[in-house]
Amino acid sequence: MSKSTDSSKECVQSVKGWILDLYPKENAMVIWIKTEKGNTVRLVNRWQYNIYVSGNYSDLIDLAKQIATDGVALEEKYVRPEDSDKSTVLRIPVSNSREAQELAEKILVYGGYKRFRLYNVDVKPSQMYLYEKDIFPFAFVHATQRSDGLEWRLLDSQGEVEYKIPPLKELTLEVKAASERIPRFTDEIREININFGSESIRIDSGDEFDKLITLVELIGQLDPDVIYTSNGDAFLFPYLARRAVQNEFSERLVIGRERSPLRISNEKGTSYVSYGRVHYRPLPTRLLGRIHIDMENSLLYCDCGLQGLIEVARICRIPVQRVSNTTIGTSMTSAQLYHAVRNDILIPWVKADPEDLKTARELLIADRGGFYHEPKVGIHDRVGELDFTSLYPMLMLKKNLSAETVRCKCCPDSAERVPELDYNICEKRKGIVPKSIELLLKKRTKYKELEGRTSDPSLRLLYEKRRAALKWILVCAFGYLGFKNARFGKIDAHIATCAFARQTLLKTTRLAEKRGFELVHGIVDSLWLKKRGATENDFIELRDEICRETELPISFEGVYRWVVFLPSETRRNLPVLTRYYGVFMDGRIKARGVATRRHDTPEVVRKCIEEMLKVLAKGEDSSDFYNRVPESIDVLKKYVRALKSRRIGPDDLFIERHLSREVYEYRHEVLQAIAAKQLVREKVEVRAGQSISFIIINSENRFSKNRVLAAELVDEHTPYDVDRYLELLFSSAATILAPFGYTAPDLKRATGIL
Amino acid sequence: MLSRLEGVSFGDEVFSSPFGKLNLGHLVFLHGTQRCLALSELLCVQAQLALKEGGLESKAIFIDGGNTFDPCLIAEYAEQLSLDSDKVLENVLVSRAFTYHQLTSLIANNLKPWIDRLNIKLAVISNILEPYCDPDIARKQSSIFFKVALNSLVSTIREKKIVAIGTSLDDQYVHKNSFFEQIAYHSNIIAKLEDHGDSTIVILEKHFANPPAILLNGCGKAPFSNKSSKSSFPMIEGTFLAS
Repeated sequence: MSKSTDSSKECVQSVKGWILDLYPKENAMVIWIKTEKGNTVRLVNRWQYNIYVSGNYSDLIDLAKQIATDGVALEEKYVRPEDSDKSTVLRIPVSNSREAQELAEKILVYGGYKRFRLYNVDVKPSQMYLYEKDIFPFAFVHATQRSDGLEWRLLDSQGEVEYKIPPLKELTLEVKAASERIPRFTDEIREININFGSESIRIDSGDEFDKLITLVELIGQLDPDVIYTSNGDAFLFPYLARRAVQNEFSERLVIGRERSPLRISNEKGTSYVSYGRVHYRPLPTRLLGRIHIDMENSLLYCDCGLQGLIEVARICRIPVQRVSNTTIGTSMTSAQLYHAVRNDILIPWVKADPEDLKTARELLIADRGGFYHEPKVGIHDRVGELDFTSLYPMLMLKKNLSAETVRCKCCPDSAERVPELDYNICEKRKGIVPKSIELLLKKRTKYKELEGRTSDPSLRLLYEKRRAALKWILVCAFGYLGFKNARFGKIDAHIATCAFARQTLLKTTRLAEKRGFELVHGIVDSLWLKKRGATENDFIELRDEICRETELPISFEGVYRWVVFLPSETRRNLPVLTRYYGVFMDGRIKARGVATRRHDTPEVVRKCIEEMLKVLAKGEDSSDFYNRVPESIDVLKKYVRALKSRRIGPDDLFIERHLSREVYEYRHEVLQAIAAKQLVREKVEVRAGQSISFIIINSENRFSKNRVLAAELVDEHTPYDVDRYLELLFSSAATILAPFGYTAPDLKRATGIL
Repeated sequence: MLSRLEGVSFGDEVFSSPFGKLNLGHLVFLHGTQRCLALSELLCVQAQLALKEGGLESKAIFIDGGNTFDPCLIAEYAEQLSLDSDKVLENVLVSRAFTYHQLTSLIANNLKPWIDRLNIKLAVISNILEPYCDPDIARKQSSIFFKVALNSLVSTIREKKIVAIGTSLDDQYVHKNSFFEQIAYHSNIIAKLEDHGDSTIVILEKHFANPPAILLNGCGKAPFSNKSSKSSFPMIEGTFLAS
């Protein structure tokens, strides 16, 4: 066990190191620096957070008199990103986010909801501090204490791709409750497990009070920079806080570096809708001065690891801990807010500017989404796939597409026009959105180059993680243009981006056709092409020509030996744009929209379909493929036998489904609602947007509560509904074999079920 | 004083009869199903007809609070009435609101200047309740903004003498909050639409010519588009109830 030096009580004049964490406290910002020696240093910077109000000059003067607080002053700022002149606004200092929100609401009421508009109200103070000081998390900096505050010298660059990260002390925390089945807040702590480097520590002796004391002491001694948990936000930390109250230990339960104990929060997590799907995010637990990563609650961490989180934190200027538990859109927005703040543009509290008025005819032309070309259902030989790299963000950057630049008032006769719609694009200023994605695109390209160049597998993995994290942000950048709550989004810019993308894909198709290629399938930013006798080189030449002509990067994914485009399950003659599978010349299988890719597919079905695809992938071409179909049905038979003989374990039977509404709002007894109700009966908090896992035990049972069993209640003796799982298996198998005339009943006959 | 003759009708005689003409200066609220959208879009076409044909000789504004506006439906109605669909589409002006702030801003700040500039006689505010009922937002705040929007709408209707149609396509928004009571208070006509297979029942919950007590027997043709069957004028049971 190693002890670290906490220099928080030293009087530091000057320090060099990496910004680990920061948060506001009593009209100041607390910043934790990780030094080159591995110590952590706590810095405090007196700093004022302000909100702004715009309105009629006399109304602002009147408001200033009403507020009568020190620091209230008139300032000149841009209230809209498209403004060419600054406006006079009222600056009002506030001490924290809550005060900002409360004051803003009072001002709205005072102005009758008409006289005033508010700005910078809900920007996190830690982010605002980073924007104002022009620094970023995990930046290597030199901070000097001056009489008038901290002076920051940046010894790093956001654009750097081979930046150094200090060695971090990482700890994994696990707490087990006394109950055998579903842990509850009322259960006593059975044991606490800590993994720190190669060391594993189990705290299981003494009473609950002793365990809590030992935990706090150990955390203090080990002084980790990063604490990983599984369900730390939804359960572990709220549970510890409740147990601390029970043991009259709550004032001493300090897990962060700041001497403030963990508290029970009365706030609930949030259910929110994204792309038509309800998600749930539990209330995050922030450990001040450390980084808490809830591995169950961080999509970005799951995909890109700590390196990905740090990359996003650096480029979007948002603390790592927040990156880990917030949406990707929030991180992406932070990059935009930085550019706004640096350009004196205020950040609107609410987006009230609506879409420009357009005729229904214009809307018919404009609002058409991306390019698509329906594939012909069935198997196709020797098809090549070309994918544009970050097409939409690239277009947003190159064409300067942003809320304030599309249909700007300052250049109606601009030479830059949106195809089909003839909207003008600003020539005088670069938009906030293009500015915010420029560096992301550059870095993503650099990481790809570095990945290709390095022979060190650990470095390659590092670049891959960082590139993947940037890709997430870029994917989100386009969607946010049309997102209702995006600060600098506007539907017209969204429409314009789609129009440019359609034009690009059409142009690309024409180029391919000129070279004798036939378009088999096209969707959004990808094209599937074939030409009799075409070699890989022909595709590469085409790719190079497209690159030259469109000035956009496009990658050649490879040539498929064969690719199968699948039909709709309800209308067998109609293709589904995103449902296909195929095998590249090098043997790689690519599948989209089939059971192997669905979140609600039980493992047993996923494994079966994967195995069937592997068998089919041995086919060199379409005729060889047909010869492999009976062998793939043999795979299906194997799984049918395993299911029928009840040899499948619970782990392979769980079905995971999202709750699209609160449990009490379900009118029909759908399976996930039944399982959720079982959990509610066990006093588990279940919210809309959460995923529920269950096993189907008897789908036909007249009592709905007996149809499924929630995963938390399952044991090795739990029976399963063989017929229902067989149905799922046959349906998934029929999907991949549908173009060849197989239906689920056919497969049942072939496997001896019928 | 409002002219009793000036107003817009749904076109079909049987269907129009319970409503009568939708008069200038009146607010009509339709709720219940997706068919409200079809009806409101039909009115955007009807409004462009000559006065003698039951129209207003006017362009229409469609403020879309639910991103539900369907230009194809407008084109379809235009073709059924043997009108130039391109021209009809040009005469329907659309703006979408994705938040209650945007919807409030459109109604309170933009509607009146647009009416003046384009000499509009018909304004549709579709999904007028939905943005204020977004579960992600604080109801207290949205209630205040709803009042601001509604008061502004009512004053615009009276001052500019236009026909305004408010719709709510899903009755969960009608039943869950007090917004419905507020809009009902200001509405001259309220009709609830209920889908019954291919037919729709219209329940007239409020009518300014109180009480009309119209009960039609049998079936009539209704101006609803049925997208799935491509049949534009499916039969509708002509049961109209007055509250």
